[in-house]
Amino acid sequence: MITRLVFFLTAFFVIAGCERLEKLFVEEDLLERPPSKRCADCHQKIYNQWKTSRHAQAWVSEEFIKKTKNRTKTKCLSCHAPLEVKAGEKPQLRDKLREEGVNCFSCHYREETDSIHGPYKVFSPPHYSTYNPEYTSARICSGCHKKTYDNWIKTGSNKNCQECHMPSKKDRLIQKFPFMYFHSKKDLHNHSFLPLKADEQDFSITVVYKGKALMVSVKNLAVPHTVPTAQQGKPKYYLQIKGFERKETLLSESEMITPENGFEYKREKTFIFYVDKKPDEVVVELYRKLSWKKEREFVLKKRLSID
Amino acid sequence: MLSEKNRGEAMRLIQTVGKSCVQCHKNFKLSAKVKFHFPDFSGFSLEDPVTGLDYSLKDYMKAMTQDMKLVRIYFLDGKKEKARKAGFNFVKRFEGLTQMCSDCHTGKKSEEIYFGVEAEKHITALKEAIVDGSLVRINKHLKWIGQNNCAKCHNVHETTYHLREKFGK
Ligand code: HEC
Ligand code: HEC
Ligand code: HEC
Ligand code: HEC
Ligand code: HEC
Ligand code: HEC
Ligand code: HEC
Repeated sequence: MITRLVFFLTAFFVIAGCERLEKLFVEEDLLERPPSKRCADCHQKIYNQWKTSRHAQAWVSEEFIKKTKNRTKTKCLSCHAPLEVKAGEKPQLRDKLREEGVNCFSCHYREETDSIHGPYKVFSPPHYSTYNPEYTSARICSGCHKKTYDNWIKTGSNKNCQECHMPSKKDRLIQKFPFMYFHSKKDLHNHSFLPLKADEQDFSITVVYKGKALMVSVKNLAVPHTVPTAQQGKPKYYLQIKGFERKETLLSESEMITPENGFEYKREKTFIFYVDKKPDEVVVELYRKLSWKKEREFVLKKRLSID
Repeated sequence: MLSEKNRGEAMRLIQTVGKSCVQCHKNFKLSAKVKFHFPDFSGFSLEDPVTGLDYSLKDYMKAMTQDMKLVRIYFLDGKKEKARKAGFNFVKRFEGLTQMCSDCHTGKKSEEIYFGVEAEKHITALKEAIVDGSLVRINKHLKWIGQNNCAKCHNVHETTYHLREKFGK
């Protein structure tokens, strides 16, 4: 069946010529900022991932509605329902389909070329496409995630946002039968925009006891922006510490860490706790809470002895 | 214990710090009157880093001011343990204040004005003073914070209000 179709289409190609073929398959509404569901007719996998992302919640998020006084704070709105995303620019607010938040057309459609912009040079008959290298650069995220981007730049990291938050695997960009077979597999980037979570490997922790002060130093070894990081949200980290002397608790304290005083990349952050006696063992735990979640999540637990 | 001379010095400093608090309070009262006009602080809540609970802005401010007072009272009473606890709680709550800025501000600059490098220096020095139990140094840094942070923050909003009153909306 597929071979016959390919044969038919190839024949058609030869007879009709590229230009007319392209016109024949154009689906005009795709360049008229349609609902994201429409893109799912072909980009099913990407759509399903995006649907679960925070980008899809940007306008309907309860916390966002509350903090913007029912969306009346006008300066708060444009990044949560943008018209067109451009590298390094704060976007404009759009009028229609705001409930979709940061959606497909806002990130991919550009009026100036009247086409879909993306990371590849593709043959995409249903809609015109323009290869745009900005999509493989952190700058595409920077108009909205400005603070995180500015912080990331300073670290000099050679990994961009996408490599961590949109990990890729070889797959087809479209799932529509039978057209999917006319396109080679490419790197398909995860569109659920994973918030990720650091782990044990990402931090080093040391403790020193000096002059009745227990100094706990935590270093972010691997995440090339502050942990936590935010533009407007309030994600948090928590450090819990217990100090023991022969199993007896001498100290039990906690610290809250916000993006403003977060763990900077490759920089030590030191917490001071006062304890009269020197503990022989210290247990340090880290937890985190994303801005849109109520619960804390466990990050790591380290047992350290002091001598 | 504190010598008589040190005690006098300490009391003098406390009074100065106390004054900047009262200043805060006064300024706040003015801004509280306009809180339904500009800017709007109603319905605010903040996670309290000490208890882990959500506090109203008012309760948060109260708790933070209380810590500020208690450090000094406990140290004067010789209750070092409690004084240190209150001191560290103050630092936690002070640092926790940065949570709220992004509810209204979209730039980074506003935060740096109150919580920049200078403020960080005083907070670090304050922590060390608390560990050392040096009331003189504690007061010095609390005073700086009172004037450059608490009072300024209340002032900014008050001034904005006055300008608006004068020149209309
Ligand atoms: C420059 C673009 C931009 C502007 C302007 C903006 N935001 Fe956001 N907002 C973001 C980004 C990016 C995130 C995701 C990162 C984070 O958590 O901060 C976000 C996340 C949030 C969150 C946390 C996620 C959630 O839904 O609970 C809230 C709440 C929020 N914004 C409220 C606001 C408010 C209030 C304003 C106006 C004071 C505002 N935003 C203005 C870009 C923006
Ligand atoms: C926040 C912006 C953003 C949103 C929203 C978004 N994309 Fe993307 N998309 C990107 C970026 C960035 C890339 C390129 C990633 C790379 O190459 O590093 C990309 C790549 C793609 C690609 C090329 C294949 C790939 O995965 O690299 C397709 C197809 C695509 N997006 C379709 C969609 C569709 C359909 C939607 C809506 C369901 C959507 N995108 C929503 C930013 C976005
Ligand atoms: C009728 C099918 C169809 C629909 C519907 C569709 N696309 Fe595509 N799209 C394609 C095909 C085919 C390709 C090329 C795939 C390939 O070469 O692997 C493509 C490629 C892309 C690319 C990659 C472009 C590049 O230059 O890197 C993006 C981005 C994209 N589409 C976004 C969208 C968005 C956004 C929508 C909804 C507004 C959408 N598409 C709707 C068929 C479709
Ligand atoms: C048009 C503005 C905009 C652009 C461009 C944008 N984002 Fe976002 N992003 C947001 C907003 C707004 C949120 C918060 C949505 C919410 O939770 O209410 C967000 C949330 C996120 C989150 C989830 C954060 C969390 O707390 O769970 C991640 C991860 C993320 N974005 C990554 C990216 C990456 C990577 C890029 C670039 C490829 C990008 N974003 C581009 C606006 C944007
Ligand atoms: C080397 C991988 C890596 C790179 C590169 C990276 N991040 Fe992250 N990012 C992480 C990890 C890991 C976390 C989870 C931190 C945690 O435990 O909460 C995270 C968390 C986030 C969050 C969620 C808020 C939070 O603090 O949990 C946002 C938003 C975000 N990153 C945006 C970006 C943007 C924008 C870029 C590019 C400028 C970027 N990241 C580059 C690894 C990375
Ligand atoms: C309820 C809303 C609200 C909150 C919360 C808030 N501000 Fe403001 N702030 C305003 C308004 C309104 C103005 C005056 C107009 C302007 O400059 O945006 C202002 C003015 C300022 C200014 C002077 C103008 C400037 O940008 O130079 C600074 C500095 C400032 N705020 C810092 C902060 C800091 C730091 C925080 C967090 C601790 C904070 N604000 C919390 C509403 C708020
Ligand atoms: C972001 C700006 C800001 C900063 C910084 C700030 N305050 Fe406030 N403060 C407010 C606002 C707004 C209120 C009014 C709260 C309400 O009633 O809703 C307030 C209220 C108060 C109150 C009155 C509480 C009551 O009993 O009603 C006191 C006392 C106070 N602040 C002291 C302080 C001290 C001490 C500091 C510094 C350590 C400080 N403030 C820092 C904004 C600020």
